Parts: sequence; structure tokens; C-alpha cells
Amino acid sequence: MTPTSIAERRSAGDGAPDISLDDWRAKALAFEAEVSRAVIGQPHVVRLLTIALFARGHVLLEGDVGVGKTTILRAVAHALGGPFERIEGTVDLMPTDMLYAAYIDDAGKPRVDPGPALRHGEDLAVFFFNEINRARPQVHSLLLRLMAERSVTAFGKDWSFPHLVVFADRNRVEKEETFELPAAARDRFLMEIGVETPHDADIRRELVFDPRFHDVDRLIGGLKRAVLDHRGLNEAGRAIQTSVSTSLTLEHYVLALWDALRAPARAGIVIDGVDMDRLILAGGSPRGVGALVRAARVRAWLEGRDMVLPEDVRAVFAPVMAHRIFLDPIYEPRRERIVRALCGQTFDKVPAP
Amino acid sequence: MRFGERAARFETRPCGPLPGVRSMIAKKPCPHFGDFADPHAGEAAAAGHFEARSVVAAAALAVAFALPAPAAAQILDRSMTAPQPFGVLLGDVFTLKTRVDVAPPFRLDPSALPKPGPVTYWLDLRSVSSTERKGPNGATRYEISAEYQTFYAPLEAIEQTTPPMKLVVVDDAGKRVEADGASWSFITSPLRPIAATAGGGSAYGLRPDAAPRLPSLRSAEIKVAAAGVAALLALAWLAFARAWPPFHKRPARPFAAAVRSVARAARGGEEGWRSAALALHRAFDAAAGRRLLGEDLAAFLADRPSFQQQDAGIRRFFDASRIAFFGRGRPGADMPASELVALSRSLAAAERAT
Repeated sequence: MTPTSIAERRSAGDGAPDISLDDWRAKALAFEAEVSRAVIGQPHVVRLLTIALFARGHVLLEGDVGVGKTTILRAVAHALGGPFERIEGTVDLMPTDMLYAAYIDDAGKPRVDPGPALRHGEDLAVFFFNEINRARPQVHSLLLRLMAERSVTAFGKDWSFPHLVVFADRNRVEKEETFELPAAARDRFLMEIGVETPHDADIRRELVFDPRFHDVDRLIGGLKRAVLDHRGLNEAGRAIQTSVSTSLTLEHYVLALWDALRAPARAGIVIDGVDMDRLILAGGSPRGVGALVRAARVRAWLEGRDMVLPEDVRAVFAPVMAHRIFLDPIYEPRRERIVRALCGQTFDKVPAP
Repeated sequence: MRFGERAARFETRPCGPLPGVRSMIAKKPCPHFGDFADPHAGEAAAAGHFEARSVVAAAALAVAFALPAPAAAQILDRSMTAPQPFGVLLGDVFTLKTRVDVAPPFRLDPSALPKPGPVTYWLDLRSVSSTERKGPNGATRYEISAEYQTFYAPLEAIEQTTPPMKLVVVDDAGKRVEADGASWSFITSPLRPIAATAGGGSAYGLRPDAAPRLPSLRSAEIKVAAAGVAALLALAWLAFARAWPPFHKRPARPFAAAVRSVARAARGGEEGWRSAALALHRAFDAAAGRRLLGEDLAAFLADRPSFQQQDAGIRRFFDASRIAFFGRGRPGADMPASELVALSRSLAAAERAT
């Protein structure tokens, strides 16, 4: 029996999705265009966020202070429509602060209302956690459940958030009074997207001198609302995953990439000043590689194809995989440079097709 | 040098009374020859003995012929010119020129002239030639030039005489008249005295043959070696440029190497098409220095102007490869194997231009 790709085996059983993916694609591109009105010079970040939305994954934005992480997430939440909630991570934030809002009412009695996570009920579309690394591990733990199961328990019952995506950001400059995210929490994020200052001089000039970018509230408020229907994203995401095929060659290719991450020395990857044999503690979980394929399928669909190409895998590889690679502790301080080189060389060494 | 070559030639009046019929051989040198001294004699006397000998006052010898009465009507005039009649050595070559005026309708019979070859045991006739032109009084003037070589080895200075040449004239009616040409007497001398010269034996003895001169071939050898080295270098360069063995694994010529495997694999149906496409992909990877995906083509081509002519073909290949490897298409459906081979050949050619 000749080997067949998993996509072929599965699609034989599934019927064709009955929603129009072309319409969804047009909407997705309109959504990107809308967000790009407020976020200039970061087209790849907008593209990755769109992919994450359709892959139904949570996103962690990382970058220096003032590069526009929060603006990007607010613009996305605005254009996506649906209930949006944000919370600031602080060192004294407790998990209950996310669920309950305790205060004294007009009559002088203590009252407890639903907190930020519950305020909009189960229709919540975007939960935005600002400065996530300032929050304590207890908070991370609650967030972990919210992300993994899209549910929490509060007021004596389970709350389910079927349409929820969690956006978090983290600045990488400050390390004091911060709590590094545990590996389990990081693995729950579909992508970790690095946001950098745009390199293009014209765009930087525009960002600095155009008054439009000085008032963020006005900037976000000027965007069209609810370009996408957040309630349909789950179904659209499922349809994309079934309709975009992966060939046997691509499946082998992804496995080869994964192998290269797990044993870079065997794949011929060499990084200056790094002992490749002891570099990797864990090179991507099955969940991580599954997320990679999911994101690659969405990317292929956004590019107007019904097949996944190595280019799609490459486009989402670093954001999806980099934060799931765990290095030997002695290499952690140089993590960013090493992981970037590792991801780059993986694509330089693994043959495609 | 031929004997008497540089001597001035004179034609003189007949000297002495005409002898009787058929005895026209002048036994003595002409007494007039001393009158015609060579103007160069003085300066040439200082040269080597042979040289001196040859330039000593040239003798002009004119011999008048006495014609027999019946022949006188046909042969109007005869005279001979010869070189100086002395100092002739073994092996010398001399030329005797005979001038004959023949009255028409008679003419000289060239077939009657002597044939080159031995004349006597000591004299060879080397060549004979005759020319014909108009003479005085309507006669035809013939000039017969006979070249002799003497092999006479005298023990002392001695006089020798060449045999006379027979002259025959004929007319159209077949009438034939014979006459003898002049003979020539000369003094021939030995090369050296019979008794050994005191103290000079070795100088006059027979010397060994001059060693053959070996011209140096060094410059020719150097040129041949240089040309050979240049040819080898050119061949090596050609092999290098074309990525022929042993340079077929040359990293800078991945497409040249791919042409071979693509051409070999492309014949093998769908599986072969896949192998051929993979070989071409690996060549692109090698050319780019990393794995080249379809989306990288624009940057790849921008860096390599020589490949830009193949732009359409390259994009077609990547599209066909995508469908074959990652889509649901059949390998080779969008780009036949022949086209694949042609593309790889053009790329190998373009690669040489980079």
C-alpha cells in the first residue's frame, strides 16, 4: 500500500464544508486592510494576527516599549468586533481580580460583580492581557485554563467562551518584578510575535510626525468596526483546516523540520559559539507542530491556495515554534539570537520538496 | 666557385693564320690574352690562392676556325670563348662557349650536340645548351655553352686538351654538313707537391670531414612546451568552465551537474520526473546557497541577471513542482520531462555567464 497523506485519508470521510471560504477570504483581506490603516510598517504582524484568528489560536506579542504592541492588539480587537476586554498585568494582580470586581455600592454594602473576564458573558471575543509577565504565576495559571479550555469557574458555575482569543503582550526590556511565563503557558499560545520598530525611514517619519498616530484612541476609533463576524470564526477555521490539503511530501517536510529542531546537529545546523549537541532540551511539542500545520493551512488559504507549500510553513514557523523550543539553561541568556539562527538554518538545511 | 667565373670574357680576333681544313684546334693559348689584364687583379691578389687564381688576369681565348671549303658556305663563322687556360685544378668546372654563324637554309642540328656524361677518362661534360638568334648577313647565330669538369690529377703542371665538339648543320632537303668545334688547351696543376712539405704535413694532409652542424632546437622546444602547457591550461579552463570531469562536482556549477541527472531521470515516467525535479531543486538550492522556495525566486533572480532570461521557465518549473509535490496534480502534467531537461540545459548555460 502506498502511503497517503493524512489530509487525503481524512477528506475521504468528510463532506465538503458548506460555507463559502471565498467570502471569508475576502473578509479576511478586508480585515487586514482595515487594521493596516492604523498599524503601518508591520504588514507581517497583521498577517500573522489574521492567521492566528482563523487558526483559532492565542497570541503573545513581544517587543520593546512603545513599538505599538497595544495599538496593534486594540486595532485588531476593534476591527474584529465582538466584546473586548483588557486587563493590566501587575505584580499584585490576583486571579480573582480577573473574575470578580469587588466594591462598596451606593448603599455602603460590599458587592461582588463579574470581573473583566466575565463582564461580557460567554460571548467574549478578545481578552487582552497587557504586560502579562508582570502578573504572578497564580494569574498565569488561571489564564492557562482560560486559553486551553476557553472556560473558567466563577460564581459557582463554569463559564465557557467559545469565541474567545487571548492576546497578551510582554515587553522584553524590563526583567525586574516580572514573572517569566511557565513553559506550559507559553505552549498554549499559538504564536509569539515579535514586534519591532519599522525599518523603513518613510514609515518611521510618518509615525513620528503624523498627528494621526499621536492620539491612539482616535486612531482606533476611526477604524471600521466588526469587519469580521467573530461568531463565525470557529466554523470558518474548521472549514479551512479541512479544505486546504497537505501532500505526503509536505508532511514529510514538516516532520523533517521538526527533526531538525529536535536534533539540529544531525541536520547539519551549526551556530557560532554553540555546542549543538547540548543546545536543545525540547524542540517543539506535537501540539506545537500541530499548531504549525494549522497556521500554515490558514496562511495557504489567505494566499488563495488549496494546498500547503513549504513557504506557508516557513512564514509561520518562527512565530509558532520559536517559543516552544527550550534551550539548555546556559544558552537561555542568548536565546533570541540562537533561536533565530536555529529557525533560519532549519529552512536552509532541510530540502524542500 | 667555378673556374674562371669572374673572368672577363672577350671575343678576339682570330690569332694567327687559319690552319688547314678540319685542323682548327688551337693548340696554343692565344698570344693576345696578356693584353687584356683584369683591372681588379691587384686588389684580389691578396685573397686565398684559389681566389687569387680565379681573378688573375682573365684570359680571353678566341679561336678562329678554319673551315673546309665545302662547309664554308654553310658555316660562316666559328669562335670559342674559354676561361684562362692555366691554374686549373682537379675538380674544377669550366665552361666553353662556341659561337657559330650558319647560313640559311642550314641550321644547327641540336641532336648532334654531345650528351652530358664522360667525355674522356678525366673529363666530364656536365651540361650543354644552345641558343639561337639572328646573326650578321642573314645568318643564324648559335651560341653553344658546354660545361665541363676535369678530374685529371696531374703530378706536375701539365697541359691538357679537351676533345673538340662536333658541329652538324642540316638543311630542309636533308643535306648534312659536319665541322669540328674548337678544342681547348689548358695548364693543370697538382694540389700540392709530391714530396711532403716540411713542417706543414698536417696542414696539407687530408682533414677529417667537418662535423655536421647541429642547429639548436632549444627555442623550438621551448615554444612547443609553452604551446603544450597553454593547450593544457585552455583545456583545463574549458573543463572547469563547463564543469566537465574532474570539475563536475564544482560547487559553483550545480546546474551543469544537474543537467546529467535530470536528463537521466527524466526518462523514467512520473517517478523519474519527480527525481529530475528534485535534482533541479537541489541545483537551485546549491546556486542560492540555501533551500530555495518559490517565493524566494524574485530575490534570487534579482541577484543573478544571467538567469533572468530563463525567468518564465524557472517560474513554470516551480509552479509545476508545487502542483506535483504539494498539490493533487500528476507529475509532469504541467511541464513535460523534455521541457525540464531543456530548462536545466539553459540554466547550465546561463550559469556559465555568472
